[in-house]
Amino acid sequence: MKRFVRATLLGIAAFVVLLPVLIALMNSFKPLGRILADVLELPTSLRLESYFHVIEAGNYGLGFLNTFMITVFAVGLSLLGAAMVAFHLARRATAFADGLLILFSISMLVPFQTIMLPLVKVGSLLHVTDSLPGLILVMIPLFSPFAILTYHGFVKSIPRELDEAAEIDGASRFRLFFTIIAPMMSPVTSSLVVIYTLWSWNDFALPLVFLSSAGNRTVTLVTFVYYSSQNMRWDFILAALGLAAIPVILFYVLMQRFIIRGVTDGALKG
Amino acid sequence: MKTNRKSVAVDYLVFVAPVLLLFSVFFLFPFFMGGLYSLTNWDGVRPNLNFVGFDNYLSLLTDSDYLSIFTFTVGFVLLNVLLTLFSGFLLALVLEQGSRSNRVLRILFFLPNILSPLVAGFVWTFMFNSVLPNVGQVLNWPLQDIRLLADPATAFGALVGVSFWQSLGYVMIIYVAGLNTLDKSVLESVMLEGAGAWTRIRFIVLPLIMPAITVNLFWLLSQSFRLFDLNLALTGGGPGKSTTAMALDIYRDGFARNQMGSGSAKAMVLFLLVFVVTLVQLRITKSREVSQ
Repeated sequence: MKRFVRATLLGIAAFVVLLPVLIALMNSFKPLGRILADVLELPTSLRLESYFHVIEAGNYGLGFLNTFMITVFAVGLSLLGAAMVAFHLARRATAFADGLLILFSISMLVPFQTIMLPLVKVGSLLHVTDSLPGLILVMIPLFSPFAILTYHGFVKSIPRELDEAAEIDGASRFRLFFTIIAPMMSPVTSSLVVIYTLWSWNDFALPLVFLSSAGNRTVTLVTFVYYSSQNMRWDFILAALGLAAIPVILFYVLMQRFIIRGVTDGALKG
Repeated sequence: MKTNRKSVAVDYLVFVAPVLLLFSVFFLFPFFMGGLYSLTNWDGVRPNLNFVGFDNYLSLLTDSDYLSIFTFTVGFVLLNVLLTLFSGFLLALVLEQGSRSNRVLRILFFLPNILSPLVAGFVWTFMFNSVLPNVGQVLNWPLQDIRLLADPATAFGALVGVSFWQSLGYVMIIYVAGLNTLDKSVLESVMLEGAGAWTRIRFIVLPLIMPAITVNLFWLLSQSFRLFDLNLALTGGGPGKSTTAMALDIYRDGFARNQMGSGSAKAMVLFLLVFVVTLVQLRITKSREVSQ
């Protein structure tokens, strides 16, 4: 009996936690009139008209494409770069290497807004603002430090004898890294990939200040711009929010095991 | 292993240089430029600028707008951190066991955390501005005239609430991982000696899950001080400037008000605040960690 009460209460709590998302999604299938008449009324059909309208009006197709490209390259290059840095620093373990590691760690204490204004100036000086490759270049140093620390801890647990054996066989450090070390890192990599994908997909402040033309907008930017342009058209706004949220929720449902493992591993071992 | 100077240099060039170069250009350099800008009266647009020493910092001390932004941010951080740190622990105690229903519940409670704060802010704006009054109308409850985001005090509460909603699952997950590392036989033996629930938590559980507390406190502090996306989406800093946090204020100085000098000074203040607070926190909580 006690267990049943506890489970019911927790179920209700979880439902309340999800309620805002559920209400928003539910109403995104309703016409404006029905939303205003009764927000708690269930939709009568899976009406996608608002979605079709918003995909067109908000230019979500391009937004998804941009975000997808940014995510693939920013996550891929950040993790590759971070893994290589971590491998080298962990194996060197000199004062200079440790100093670099501390520098990367301290950088994580710096809020983005501290470097935001001059970063945009530097970016426009180098002609990399308002370009997706430029944005990716800027994301790499902002994304890498967390992965560098995570990989660094992992590499220290790989015995050095492995390196030496490979070197006796005549492998270069470059080959040693790609053929032996990097494959061993894959459990860490898989957790980092899902977490970084979320970071990149949800990133807002950097695209906001770094990208200006409509053709370069990411999903969060498209959503922000579209939301700001609509007044009380909740049918369209909710469809826009649905477009932004549904891919992330699906990704979470599919990857929740990795996400939760990645969050706890990164946090408690770092 | 032979390590001559040349091969070390080549390895650094191959393995470290690419990331370090980008890190220098797009992180270190802007950081120091920001420090430099904070000592000027530059508007961020025109080419002329003068060095004004620490004038930008000094004038923040008498800027009543800035003082209220500072107070708001510190208040938000305190309330948000304490509320989430405590509630997350209670939730973790309840959901600690690895039963199937607990696993599902943990996944559900974590879900708000994966949404972008921008989207979360817009969803909650819909809840506050549309759903609440509408439910009041339909059910004939006196909710119609409540506009939570239009009053400074309730808008502050709304920001804390939504932020709490997004962080609770994260904090809980970290605590659960911490609780799972506990040696259950210790708990059982003190229970046999008649220790009550409070005694067990206070003297056995809390000291042993200090690493999880360290992580959660650090994460909550850094997240709360960086409040930006949610701030912009939910209240836009208003009504007036009453719910503008420091990060949003810096953004507006730089991109709306053309005050590069004072914006940079504020950016440095934010950095120092986060840096000092989190380092002090790490020192304190790390020193209380005990090894099992």
